[in-house]
Amino acid sequence: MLVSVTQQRGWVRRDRGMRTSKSPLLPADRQPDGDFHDLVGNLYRAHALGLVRLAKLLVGDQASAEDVVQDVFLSLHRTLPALSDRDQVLPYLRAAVLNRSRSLLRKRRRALLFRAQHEPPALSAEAAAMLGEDRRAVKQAVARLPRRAREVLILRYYLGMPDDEIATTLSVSAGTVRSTASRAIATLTRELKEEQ
Amino acid sequence: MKSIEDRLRDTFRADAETVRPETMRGLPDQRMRPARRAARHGAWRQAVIPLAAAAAVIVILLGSAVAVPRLFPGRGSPTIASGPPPPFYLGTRDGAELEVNNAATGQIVAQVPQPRKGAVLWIATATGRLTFLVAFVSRQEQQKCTGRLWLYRLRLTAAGRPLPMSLAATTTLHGLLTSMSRDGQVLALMSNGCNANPATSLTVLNQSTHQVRHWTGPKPREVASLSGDGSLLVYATGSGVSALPASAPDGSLAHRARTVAPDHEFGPGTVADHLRLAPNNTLYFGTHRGHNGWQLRAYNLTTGRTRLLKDLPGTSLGIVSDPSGRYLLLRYGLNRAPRHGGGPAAGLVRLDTTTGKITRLAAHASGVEEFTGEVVLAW
Repeated sequence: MLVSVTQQRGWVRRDRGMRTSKSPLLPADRQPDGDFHDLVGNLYRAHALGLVRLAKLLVGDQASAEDVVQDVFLSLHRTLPALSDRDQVLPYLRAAVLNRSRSLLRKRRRALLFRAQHEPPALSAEAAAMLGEDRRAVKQAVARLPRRAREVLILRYYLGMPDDEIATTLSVSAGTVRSTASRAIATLTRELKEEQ
Repeated sequence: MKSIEDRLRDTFRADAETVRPETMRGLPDQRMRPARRAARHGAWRQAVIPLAAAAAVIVILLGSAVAVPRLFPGRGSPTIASGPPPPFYLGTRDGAELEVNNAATGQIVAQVPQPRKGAVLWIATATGRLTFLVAFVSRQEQQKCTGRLWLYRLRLTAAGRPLPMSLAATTTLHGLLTSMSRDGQVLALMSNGCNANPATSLTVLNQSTHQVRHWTGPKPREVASLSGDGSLLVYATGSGVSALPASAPDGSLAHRARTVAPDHEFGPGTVADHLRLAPNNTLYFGTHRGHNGWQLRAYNLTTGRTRLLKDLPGTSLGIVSDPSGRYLLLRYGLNRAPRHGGGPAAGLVRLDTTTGKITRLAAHASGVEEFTGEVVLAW
């Protein structure tokens, strides 16, 4: 059962009928409600793999991608009640993965500016063997593109999303999606031709 | 020649499929998926995958310079079997009797008879879903930092009933035992003001190799915790959370350890405590600022990144991980008005770190307020 945001905010501790300060740990109105947790669990089982794969394309390494998706599911407990239409959940999850990945990449850039603590992700030996030379060249060329261009290409050619859905996910216009994709394809074509 | 669009589709698909269900942490039904996928994609894949795997092995053997970033060499991303969490945890109230508790409800299932009269129940670790190692120390150990350690094996039936404990090892300790590896072979000891010696030191004793490492430095604010395999030691000082490979040469903690999560990263006046190293390469710990709740954070040893997992009320009293590192038991204290009696009440919850699901455990029928003094020893 989905509960409204208002209900969510009125958390009441039920043990001994005592009202305590707002507690994000044990929202009592959710305690007896197994459906909510089952829903999140089912969403995780259904979509985690696909979302980690999407995040891997965005952030470059699996460990960070898993962190991103874990963060998204942890925050889902706060936001899911506000989603009235369950069909919105997967688009919401994808958008959340995009946002968290951006945030991670920003943090990584800051870390590199101030202290060389996090090494940029590199292909594992196994991944390198699986990808092959041509794919490696394409991947490296994509990695050099601006952030939005990368996101558009991944949503369009990995997820196969139509431009209007990409526009909704990225909160831009469909025209921006088309022009960004077109510029990115032109850049890639040029760069990959030069490499050959 | 393929168009650039086709090359992009092909590259993205191949890159994404390097993430496989069996290498993902916290994904159930892992063993079922590869078989279904192979059947769907036809026989050619069955030939390509072994070839690619063989090529990968060769590349690895040649010592390719390309490697996944590692902050701590030798600590790879493990593939953790992510089944259901173990059904029982070990706890105690006020250091008295050892109890077996149902990990789904928190109810006491059985009490475990003390195997050695006069010895003090100290720490415990799970070695399997129904097996534990329990450490008892002599009373002198508490007072003089030197004494005997007795390690007992405890096996539970499927219903959680304890079988008689058997003695696994006994040794003499010089220092306060703070943590042990899952097989009980590696022990972490701390000396602070023991035998009138004002210096603080950490010692790691490997009983199988007889290797002893010894470091001195400022007094840790939080007792040291060993990883399950005994290869890494973590502790908190006034500056944050530090990690130290258990094989690091003797010397000063300041030189040998690395601060992995400085307190100042979490805001002024924030301190970290209750460290727990889980087998999924994650260090869980709590951070506090004042008395307005605490935060559960996770430091990923593979990526070197610290994340906020949960905002929680009260103060943290303990974090215990299951063998996969996915599920945690969190013990917390709630500041209550004096009319509710005694000190702060405490509660215990189970957290699924993958989905964020929290389950309140009520170990006693009378409710969470009766929980003060209960300590979770091992899960």
